[in-house]
Amino acid sequence: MMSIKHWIIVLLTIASLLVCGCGCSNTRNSKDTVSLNMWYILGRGSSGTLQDWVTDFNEGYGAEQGISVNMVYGSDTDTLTSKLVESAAGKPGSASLPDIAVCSLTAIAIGKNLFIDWNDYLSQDELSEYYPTFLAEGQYDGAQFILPTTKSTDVLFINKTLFDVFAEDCDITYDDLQTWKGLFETAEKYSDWAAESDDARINETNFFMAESIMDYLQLGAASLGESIWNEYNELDFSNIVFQRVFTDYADSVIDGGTYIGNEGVISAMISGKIVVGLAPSYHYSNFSNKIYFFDNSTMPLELDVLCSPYFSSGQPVSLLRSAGLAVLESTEQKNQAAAVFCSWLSSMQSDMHSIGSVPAKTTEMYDYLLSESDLPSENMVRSVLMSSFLERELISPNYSPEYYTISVKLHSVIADCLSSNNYADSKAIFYQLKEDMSNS
Amino acid sequence: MKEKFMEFRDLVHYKFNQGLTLKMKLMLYLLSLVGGLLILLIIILYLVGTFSSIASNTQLTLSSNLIQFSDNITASYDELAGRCVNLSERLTSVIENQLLESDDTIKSLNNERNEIEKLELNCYDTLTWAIESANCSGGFIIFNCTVNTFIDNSEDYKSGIYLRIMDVNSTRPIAPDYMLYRGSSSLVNQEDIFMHSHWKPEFNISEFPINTTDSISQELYKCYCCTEVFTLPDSTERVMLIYVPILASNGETYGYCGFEISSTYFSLMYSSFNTFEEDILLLISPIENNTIYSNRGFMTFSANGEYNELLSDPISIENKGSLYEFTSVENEFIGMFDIIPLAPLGSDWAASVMLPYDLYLHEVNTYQLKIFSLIALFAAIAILFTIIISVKYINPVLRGLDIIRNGDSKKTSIREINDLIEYLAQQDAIINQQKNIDCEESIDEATLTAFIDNVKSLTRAERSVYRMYLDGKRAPEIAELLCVSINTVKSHSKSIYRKLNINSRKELLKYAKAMKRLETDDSPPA
Repeated sequence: MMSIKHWIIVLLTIASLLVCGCGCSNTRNSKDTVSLNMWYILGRGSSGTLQDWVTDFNEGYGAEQGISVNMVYGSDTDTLTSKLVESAAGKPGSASLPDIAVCSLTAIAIGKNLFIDWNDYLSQDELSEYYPTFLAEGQYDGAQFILPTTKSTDVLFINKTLFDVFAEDCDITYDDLQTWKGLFETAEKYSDWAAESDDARINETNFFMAESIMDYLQLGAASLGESIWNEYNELDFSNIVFQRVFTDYADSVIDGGTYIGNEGVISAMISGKIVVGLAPSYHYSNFSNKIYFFDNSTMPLELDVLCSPYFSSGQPVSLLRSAGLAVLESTEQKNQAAAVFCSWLSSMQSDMHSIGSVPAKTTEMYDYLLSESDLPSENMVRSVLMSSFLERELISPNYSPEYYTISVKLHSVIADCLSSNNYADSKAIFYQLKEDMSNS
Repeated sequence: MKEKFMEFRDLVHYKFNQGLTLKMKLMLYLLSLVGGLLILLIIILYLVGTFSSIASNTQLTLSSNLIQFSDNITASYDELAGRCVNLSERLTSVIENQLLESDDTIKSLNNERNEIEKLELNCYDTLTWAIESANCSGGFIIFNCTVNTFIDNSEDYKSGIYLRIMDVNSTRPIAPDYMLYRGSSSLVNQEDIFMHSHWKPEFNISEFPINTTDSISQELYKCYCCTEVFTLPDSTERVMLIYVPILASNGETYGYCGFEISSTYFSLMYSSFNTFEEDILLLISPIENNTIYSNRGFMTFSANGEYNELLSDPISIENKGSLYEFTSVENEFIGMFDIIPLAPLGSDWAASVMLPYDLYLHEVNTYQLKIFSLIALFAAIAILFTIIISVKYINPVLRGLDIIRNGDSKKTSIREINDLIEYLAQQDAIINQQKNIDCEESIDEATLTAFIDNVKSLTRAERSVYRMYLDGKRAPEIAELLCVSINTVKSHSKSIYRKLNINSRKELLKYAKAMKRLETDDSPPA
């Protein structure tokens, strides 16, 4: 006969098992999912493949880790930074600040204390895997605010279809586009050639356009060993090199060889407005294979890529482009989750980078640049990237917090001055620019 | 089975006839009580619907979701239709103003690039105002003219503007950024907007499911249409368009205008109505012959994306009592649906709320497991208390019985047993007294005299045995105390009986007692 103690033990065991049984059935949804909102850079006229990677993360590794990333807003660098500034300032009606922003260092204009320092979330060994120049681009005041993913550089995109017709008539080659002087002279020749064309569509085309005038100015000045910025992060209007670089560009606009507009190089090229554009190389895969002219007629678009020009009295330099990942300070749980996502994304970069960009990690970058593709077009881009990244001096744009404010103002002032047709002399525009910038 | 039962019954009867312990009997009665209470509890739970509550709760939740969802969809589309009509009327005014300036008709704008670009620019603000005030992800205007009638299939091309909101979000931005999907590229520069990656300058009307052939004889508000959901040409985004004609005062059709709802926007907007689980799916789709075509409708995203491939399958609906069974090629759901009036023209539409059948079963099983676990827990605890109560109650009684059995006079904690012990002690005293009287009556004087005389003749060993008999010891005890064998004790006993002229231990004690009484009576008082 069992003693009372035995009975009690048996019954308590049964009771415990039953209670556990009840509890276990509630564990299905017990793991809370950390939801992260992400803002990302969407180049004008482009749609990146980041969405596909985020979907892969959410359905795979993210689901395992209980992390879900929502891509809630995409825009260009300036607009994104502007929206971040509005949100950080609590402007009525502005969106909530995201948890992750794919952005450049200009975003820290909203306040560096709003971002996490990657040094706190990644080990020095992990950080040392990145190409030092790329890593340095995301540093400010000793902190690593931006974690690079992929990198590109400004290159010349050429609508070969249109260029070939013009080149044959005017005896022009790609060699003429190696220097800024050659490019602007070619643009002037194109302007004359297009004006005389019987094709109304050609009449309306310009030769050249820069995606960002600021980037052209920085690239040009760096080629001449100077900077357009003074020690106070202000535009250095007293610098003769700045004046020369600017007036060369402005002259070309006045002559009609260079187009200035709000749209980006891709939009301008696929709508038949330009033949050659200076833009970040990652845009390569975002061009369509057709040009749609204003009269709804089409023309095949064959794309060629060249290294960015330089001033013949200076040296070839390349401007680093592309943004990285920044995490905005939130709860420690969200910070950790964001770090997990960014590390995952970063580990995928050898597969993630598109034609026109290189992985930000040193080993992966060299692997990519030194390998060959079966596609001739990809090899062409790779060759240009190799020259740009490995044979030229790499220049980082001045991504100081002040850059954002100055960039927005400068673009607007330059666009106003150049499109008003009131200035026949580029130097007059430069002085007007100086005056407008001083007033602002 | 019957034989087994009979065997069991006989066994129980046998056991009962054999006699059960008090503890077992009490435990059986208490267990019967627990069993009765459990049956009563189960009956009450059944009567109040506890066992079926998960099913009815699911039905209630799905039903309230459906009502909320379909009401909101209907109201939302009704408002959109109203805004479409309003946009159309405003555009009529804008277009007529421009056409009156140059005394043109809309068709006369064919091949007039500058006029068409001017028209697009004039209509831009009206369109963006309408988009910003409507529940939509974009809007469009199609003009009945083209910039180039000389290209192939030019009859399919129409000028116009198609704007899509870039920052589609569950909260509407105050000033959204736009992407130009169709329209003159000059708008990009003039309005500082983005160009869509699949931008084209004009609509190829054959790529859009917009019916431009029906003659329009009804009032404007009666002829708005909803397209089925289709993939936007050249892109991967699935959208639905709600549109109305733009009518001139003279009845001419200037074109069409309307709004876009993208699948992303739909999902963001309506996921918030899901109050049950993240796995519930909300769907609007055309319905024909009890089959809904999810590939031609919208569905909110499931949390893990597991059911997104559903969009390619038709789903058949079958009534299963208060709920419906939705079956596609690979999936099974339960849910409810409601026919909703999206537009006066076009297909019938249904709003459906569906729950994966596996999940539903899981919820039901989990719930029932919980209920039965709790009942079993209750039973286990009741049995535990039954055992404890039985033991606590019976043990003092058993201790009392032991006391009675040993003839002790100890007190127990039970008054009735104490009373019984007292009663039994009194009874013993009466019996002893009676015994003494009986003893006195049977004493033979001659035998007593001989006994007294012969006691002195006992040997030393016999005397030891004799004294121990007087002390109440029995032969085995005496053998043990004197360290002799039982046979030796028996031998001494025979010798004692012979010498004292008696036949038994009982007689020995009787005459010894009488001798002692005589000695007491003869002794002088102290």
